[in-house]
Amino acid sequence: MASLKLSASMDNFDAFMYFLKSQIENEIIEKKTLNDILIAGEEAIVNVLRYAYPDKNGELELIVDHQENPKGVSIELIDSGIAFNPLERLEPDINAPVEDRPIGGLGIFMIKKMMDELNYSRENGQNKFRLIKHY
Amino acid sequence: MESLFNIKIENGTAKVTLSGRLDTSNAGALADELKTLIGQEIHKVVFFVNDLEYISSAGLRVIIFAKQKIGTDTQVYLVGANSTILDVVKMTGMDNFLFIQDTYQD
Repeated sequence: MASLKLSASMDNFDAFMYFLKSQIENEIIEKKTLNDILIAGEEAIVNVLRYAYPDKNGELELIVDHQENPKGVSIELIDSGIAFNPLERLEPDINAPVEDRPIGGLGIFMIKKMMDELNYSRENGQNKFRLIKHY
Repeated sequence: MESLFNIKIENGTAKVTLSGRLDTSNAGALADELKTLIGQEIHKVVFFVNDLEYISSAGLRVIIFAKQKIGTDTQVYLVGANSTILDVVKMTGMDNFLFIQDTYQD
């Protein structure tokens, strides 16, 4: 298990992604699985960096853990920002004509499609969002 | 994160070659480049993605932008996508408005 805790600022986006990639790229051989985890991880990280702390500064802790039987990787995001359950977001209408599509709203939909298990809890003023991918 | 893009304009077609990743860290820069195409009589935007590893939702928004904003009847092509990118495009329904090809044929 490894974790990285930094200020929840877009300036730290690259640092979070570098950390995530460095924790999983030697374990996961299949390129597509690796890419799916990186995409889902990016969507989850960006959500916190952009929206968790509208009025104040705060931190994001990213915890990456490996699992056996079945093999998998778990990514947990913990922040103390506004309560936000990503699993309650409405799904975008992916069949809407392109002219009618709002530019946005796809990130959480992609997380749901790409990961195998998602858990959200709000405890002690913290959002805990955990994403698991088996491989 | 590493990423490169290159845009060439020939006879109303903008050819955009992408490599590395199209993600939150660079999608804005690509969108800024594509904005310079507005009003230039561009009828086709062709994204060559043979060397692109993946696209996140930030990258998808740039492709939607190309379809919505560059011209009224702009056709958007996606050429040489890997399985990660094809899956993302299909799961988000973007295959409904993109011409998807292995090698470019206009």
